[in-house]
Parts: sequence; structure tokens; C-alpha cells
Amino acid sequence: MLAKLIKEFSKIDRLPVEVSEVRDAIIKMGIQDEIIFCPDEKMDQKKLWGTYYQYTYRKTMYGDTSLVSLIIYCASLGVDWQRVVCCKEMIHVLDVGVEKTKTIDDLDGLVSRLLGPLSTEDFGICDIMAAKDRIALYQALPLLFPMEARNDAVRKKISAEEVAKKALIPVGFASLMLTDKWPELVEDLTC
Amino acid sequence: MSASRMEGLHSFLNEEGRELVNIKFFPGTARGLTMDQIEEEAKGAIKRAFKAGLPDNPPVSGLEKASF
Repeated sequence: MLAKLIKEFSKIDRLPVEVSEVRDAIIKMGIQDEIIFCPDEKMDQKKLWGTYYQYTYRKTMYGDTSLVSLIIYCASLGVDWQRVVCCKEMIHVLDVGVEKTKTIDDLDGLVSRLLGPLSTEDFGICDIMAAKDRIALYQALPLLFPMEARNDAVRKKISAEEVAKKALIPVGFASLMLTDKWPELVEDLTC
Repeated sequence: MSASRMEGLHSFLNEEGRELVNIKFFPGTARGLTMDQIEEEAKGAIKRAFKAGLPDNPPVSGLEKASF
């Protein structure tokens, strides 16, 4: 699914890609009923930049179950980072069963691994969840700066700063995506 | 984080007819960030979003599309 999504976006050469365009493409895939984005003015960016909460609910007692993804992002971040946070969290719509954090133990394990040092003595499912949480950031990047636009920028020797401005992504990511290794990395991240 | 706090967050995520399917976090940059801080911040943010009626506002670039 992720590979399909990235392939679809890879043909885009006009920037910036809007977060809502990524959402529309995911909804069109038919795996999610709603994706809602809420900016949070009170979120302390020292503590949290965003959170992804996927849940089911019934609008009426005997109605069909809806699958909703709520993405809350820190409103005090720059728009470039807000876009990265939202797209990273949207990647989790595509999480497979083992990557989903659902139980109390899952929650505990995920957060402790996100904050703690990587351990070589404590393997488990939560390691996979935490790894997915980190990798999703890089999987989101080719949606905001698609390969066609990236190749165009490389051919024309556009600077990372100019790419960052046009793609509206943080300059550090623009630099990474302009390197020769990026196309191979995208393949590896989405296989 | 104590078990009771984690239970509190988990319980909150399963309230009012909602059933948790998946949750993820994008931690901030503070040094020495604790599980309690992440949990509190996430819970607060989700509470505020529901209280506000889940207004849907994805970030918008405000830029015109152009190629290089």
C-alpha cells in the first residue's frame, strides 16, 4: 500500500504538495473512513510535536463502525515541520497489525522505547512498533518532495535551501533527499 | 510511568464508544523527556481536540504550485 502511494506521488513535479492531497489519496485507497487534522495551540513543543490516534466508533447505536484517524499537531511548529509531522502520522494509517499500538503493554513498551536507549537485551513486538514510529518519518518524505520533483531539482542543481522553500520541508530533509543515495533509500523504506 | 497512569491513558482512548486501534507519538526535543510527560501531553491534546468538536484543519502551505 505504501509503495503504491509513493509511486502515485512520484510523478508529481509541481510543489508544494499539500497535506490534504496526501489525505485524499489515502482515503481513496479505501482503508480509512476519515482522517482529521487538529492543530493544538497548547501542545508544548518541548514535550510533543504530534500524536496519532486511530479508533473505531459507531455514529448510531446499530450503525456501521467508522474507522477514524485523528492527527493532532503542535500549532507552534513552523509550517514545514507541521507538514512533516502530519504526513509522518498519516503513514500510520498504513500500519500492519504488528505495528499497531493497542494494548496497555503496547503503549508502555512503545513510549519507553521511543525515549530510552536502544537495548540489545529487550527484544519484542514493541521494538517493531517503535522502529515503525521512527521510520514513518522518512517514509513520509517522498510524499512531500516526490521523486519527479526531486530529480528535476538534482538535474538543475537547485540548492537544498531553495528546495526547502519550494517543497516547504525542513532544509535538513531537503539536503538528505538531494543526495545520490536517496532514490535507493526510498526503495528500501517502502519495500 | 506507573501502571495506573498507563491504564488511565488506555482507558481514556477507549471511552465514549471509541475503541483504540493504534496510537503513535512524535516526541518533542526536551532533554530527559519522561513517559509521564508524553502521556500527559498526548492525553491533554486529544481531550482538547474532542472538546473543540474535532475541527479539521490540516496545515496549508499558502503557496502557489510551481515546478523548478
